[in-house]
Amino acid sequence: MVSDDQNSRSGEKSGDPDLPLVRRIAEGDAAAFSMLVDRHLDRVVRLAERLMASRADAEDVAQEVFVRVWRHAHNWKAGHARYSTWLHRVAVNLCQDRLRKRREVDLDAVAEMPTEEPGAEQIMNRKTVARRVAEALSELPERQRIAITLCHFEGMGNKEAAEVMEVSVEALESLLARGRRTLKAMLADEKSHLMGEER
Amino acid sequence: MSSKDVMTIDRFADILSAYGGHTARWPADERPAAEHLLRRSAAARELLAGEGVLDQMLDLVPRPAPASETLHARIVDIAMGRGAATLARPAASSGGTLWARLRDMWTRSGALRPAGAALAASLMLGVIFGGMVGPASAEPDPVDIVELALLDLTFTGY
Repeated sequence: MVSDDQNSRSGEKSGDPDLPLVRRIAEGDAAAFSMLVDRHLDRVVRLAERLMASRADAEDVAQEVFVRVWRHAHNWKAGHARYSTWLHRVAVNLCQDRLRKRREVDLDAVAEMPTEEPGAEQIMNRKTVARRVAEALSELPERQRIAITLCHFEGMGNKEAAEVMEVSVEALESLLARGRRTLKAMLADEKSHLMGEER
Repeated sequence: MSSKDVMTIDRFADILSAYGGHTARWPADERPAAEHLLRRSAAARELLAGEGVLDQMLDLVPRPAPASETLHARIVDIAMGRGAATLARPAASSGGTLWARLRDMWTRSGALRPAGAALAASLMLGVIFGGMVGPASAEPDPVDIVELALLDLTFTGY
């Protein structure tokens, strides 16, 4: 049995630490599949939850992503994108499909991030600022929200985020800048509250 | 000296407006030049201070909880065909005969066994009759006709 560490080391030579696992999965190795799920599940669920503001939908998307890994590992051609980039691209595309269907079902529905204390008092504290920021994020145009989620929340570099979104780095930068500009306008009130609190 | 080594204040402003004020999020290939500009330019530092508030607000959004062990187990079960919903992984295109694929389906899921048996029986019959009848456009071999006739006493075609 090859350990996860050994896989990572040998994968680094090829530039993609997931490649050895993917090769084993292509041969039907269940242990390798479990290791790959373990390695990426948290991040995929987190990304999907941020994009869809729904834990249940995020878990469904994660399940679909990894089932695709199992079914299509033998089709993976190394050398283009990193495997994790492909994983995130699939997750983003599945989220977009679900968001599209959600819009078709209810055009008026506005996704809300889960909150610990719904209906809390009007006191502007960090928690309510956080909720307002989450709401503002959910109101952003979809591709701007994806760009900000990948770069700000998931800490992806610009090249990888651009690959996940299948756009150029310049287009990614434009989405990010527009998204941040819109957020600043939407959160002008919260900014003053936050600044007041900091003083 | 490449353009990446020298950062203009305009490009610095573009980087801030896209990636925010955390230097770790700046493009890796431009970060050294941007940080250099930040050290020597008051205007750059002023721009950075203005952008930091949005980063601060974004950082307040709670991080989603990690995935549960249950979800991990459910995904593995479904992929392996052990869950309520079963899923057989197609055999790799580079290898695997029809028999190997059938055997793979058989071993992956007990739930598939009755269907597998029926499929195997259908295939066997198909092979037998396919072999007996041959391609529709093929010219019948007289010897085959005799052999076929011996299997069916009602045959009167000779």
